[in-house]
Amino acid sequence: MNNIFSGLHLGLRALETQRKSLDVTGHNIANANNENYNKQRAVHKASYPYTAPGLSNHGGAGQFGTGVEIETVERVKDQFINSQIFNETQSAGYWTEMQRGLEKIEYIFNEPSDSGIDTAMNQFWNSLQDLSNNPSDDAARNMVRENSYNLIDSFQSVENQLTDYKDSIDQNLNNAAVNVNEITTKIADLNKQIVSVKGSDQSPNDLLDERDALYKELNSMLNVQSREDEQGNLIISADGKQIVNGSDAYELEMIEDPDNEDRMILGHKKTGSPVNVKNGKIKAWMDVRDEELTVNIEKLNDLAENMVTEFNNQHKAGYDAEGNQGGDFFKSIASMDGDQTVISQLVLDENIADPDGGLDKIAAGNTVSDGSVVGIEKVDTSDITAKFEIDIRKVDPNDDDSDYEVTVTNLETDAEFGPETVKKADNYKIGFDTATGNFTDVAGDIDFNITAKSEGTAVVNLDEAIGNGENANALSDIFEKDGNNIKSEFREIITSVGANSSRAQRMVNNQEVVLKQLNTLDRSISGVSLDEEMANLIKYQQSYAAAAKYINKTEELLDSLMTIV
Amino acid sequence: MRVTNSMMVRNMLDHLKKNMGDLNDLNEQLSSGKLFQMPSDAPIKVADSMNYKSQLNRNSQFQRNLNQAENWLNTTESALKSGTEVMQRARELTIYAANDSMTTDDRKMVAKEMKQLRDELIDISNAKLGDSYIFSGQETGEKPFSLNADDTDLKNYVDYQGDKNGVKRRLNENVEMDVSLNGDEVFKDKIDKLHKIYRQLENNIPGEDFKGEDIGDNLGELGNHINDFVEKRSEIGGKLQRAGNIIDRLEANEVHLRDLKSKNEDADLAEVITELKMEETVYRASLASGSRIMQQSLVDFIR
Repeated sequence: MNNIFSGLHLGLRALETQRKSLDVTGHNIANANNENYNKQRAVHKASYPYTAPGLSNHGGAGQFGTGVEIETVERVKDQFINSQIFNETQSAGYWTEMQRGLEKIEYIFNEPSDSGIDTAMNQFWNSLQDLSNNPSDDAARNMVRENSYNLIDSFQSVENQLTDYKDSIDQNLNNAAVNVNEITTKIADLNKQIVSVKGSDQSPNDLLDERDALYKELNSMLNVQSREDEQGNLIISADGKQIVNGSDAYELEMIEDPDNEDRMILGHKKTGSPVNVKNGKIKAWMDVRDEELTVNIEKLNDLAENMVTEFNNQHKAGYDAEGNQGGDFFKSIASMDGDQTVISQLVLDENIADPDGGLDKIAAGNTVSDGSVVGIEKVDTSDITAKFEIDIRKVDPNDDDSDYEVTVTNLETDAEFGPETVKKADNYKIGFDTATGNFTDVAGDIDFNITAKSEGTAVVNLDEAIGNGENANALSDIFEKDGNNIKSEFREIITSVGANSSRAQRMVNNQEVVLKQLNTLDRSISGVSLDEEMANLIKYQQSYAAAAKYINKTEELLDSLMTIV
Repeated sequence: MRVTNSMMVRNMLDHLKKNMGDLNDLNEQLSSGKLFQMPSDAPIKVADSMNYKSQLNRNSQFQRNLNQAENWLNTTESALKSGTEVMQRARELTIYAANDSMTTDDRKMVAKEMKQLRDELIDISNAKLGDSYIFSGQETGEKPFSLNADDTDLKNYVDYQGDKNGVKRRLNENVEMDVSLNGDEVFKDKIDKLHKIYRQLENNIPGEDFKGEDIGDNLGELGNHINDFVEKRSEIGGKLQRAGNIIDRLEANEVHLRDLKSKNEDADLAEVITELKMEETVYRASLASGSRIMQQSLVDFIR
């Protein structure tokens, strides 16, 4: 029966409810600056009313309320926004690290500057031009050699730094795996606590906040999927492999890629299988390592290889200060170890590098005006004074392996010989006798051998002279000739690194905007507003005071009753 | 929308960060004077700039090559000038000695000077630029002429040692110039001629007795030789003219390239400073509004 004492209980419940609500408000205020904190709210509910009307009850007005109680302390959170944040965190992690990696590569290339590969190529080119002006000058020869050392150094320095960076990423990935394991272990621990709190029918709000924060951090590292089971466990998997299941965490580690033993990838320790990462910082590091760095190291090496091959070919077409045919200038690609990069083995040919007489071996003079068209090998040219023009045409212009047709013109007499077919089977090589104009086989009675290299025309001058600097000119053309040349190839590398890096920067900015908007939404819903809490503070305080007043009045009622006695 | 304190603080910080970033970019442009520092700042412009830089480098190298070529041509020109003077003097002497009133002894006196002229012409043909003999074709290490041991040979006193290949200089993209004249064409006949006149004046070749008219016979050829020198000088003059034109073109091109490069990569200071001022104002405003917003809350009004 609803009696005078039940009023005291009602007042007491009201006092307790307001005080607890004040506690929640206090908790909110205390966590106002906690980024991971989600606002909590005490949900008030009228407590169970006194009796339903029935036969056994005395008549009168219907049910009597019994006051208020706290139904639950609610965590204000929008799960949909939350899961979007997790997703976008993966991409944000990816692009942030990608951008850093590419920026680092840009720093390594150090272009545009006065100390990069580009400048070294410019200086080398200048020294070759100076040599063509003064082919007999030892100082000019020395500058060519010094500048070639400088060029080699700048190639090697860039390659070393790229390779070092690649190695440091492997180290980074090991640390990342350890970091991921720490996170998953903590999440597993939290799962255990959350399940036990939920089991006792309470809401583990603060633990959930902590777990969400950890899960977000995990998302920034790699792409993971998760679901929450009925007991409240967060079950997480990466590429279909469980990494957190209830209170158990399964570790990840770096393992050898089964498809490529030189490459370390993420693996699942328990099952031993590789984990295919598609997003997050770990993916970014792997992409920087396997794509950006690998590709750029490859491109740079291709460039160096082209340079060495073209330069050596042209160098061999010329003759040195002593009138001998030029040898290799750089150590030839053929004599390099195929397991190592070209740049790491880039040195001058030992004949050129020789401090004693090496300078004289630089082939500044030229027998052939364009060594890419034709190669000349002298057999017996002592009695030849004329110059010859050699014209090379493909027999079948559409066939890459086509035989060539060679026409030789004596520029003194204008006598024309040929066209004669040179066969691929003979390595495009044929002999020529100037006296008779006969193309004989390679071993016959001949003055020199002609090797056809590509379509074009070249002038052959068989008389060597120290004052001939035409080969130095031709050598310099490898870097600067019209159309495709070594320098334009290098510029392409720089442009592509720059464009990739610039794209990554834009993506970082985009990701920041997306995340910012989501975070704003999230904070709008779950953040603590001090104004709101202040209002609540007053609200609960007033209610508390009112409830106290109510108890006071009830007591007065009792007092009046007692005075009757 | 419900606005919470952390939202406001975060938003403010984001904006501050962005403003700071803009300020930093402008500051870098201002302090370096360049629009970009890294390829990613403007990939295409960076490639263009590298291209301009290498074109400028080529341009200045071509100017060096041209200076070299001009030196070569000038040295050639002055050698030809001296050569002309020698030949003119030889002609005067020949006219003088062709007179039949000269005695053999008189002619011997003239012969001494003629011998000097011959040797002087040989010296002139040995002209060098640096270490290079300029009249030896590409055999720049060799003296152009060696002397014939048999000095009674009236036709062939000197032998040409060089070759007939021209010394080429690259003066611009796809422009090459042959700067050399070879001694065989320029000096050989003339030296031989002077030697012949000298021997005729000396008149001590056994079995021969040279008279005034024998000596006078040389005059026609001497005139031709002088004309030849003049022609060669005008050829060299033409080449110098052409080199000068190319230098003018290269210099004009250099100005043009520098201008392009500067437009491509240099920051417009006035513009950057204006932008910097604007950004600074925005930054100050965001700082000021931030500080006001953050200071206030309901707390201030509850007693």
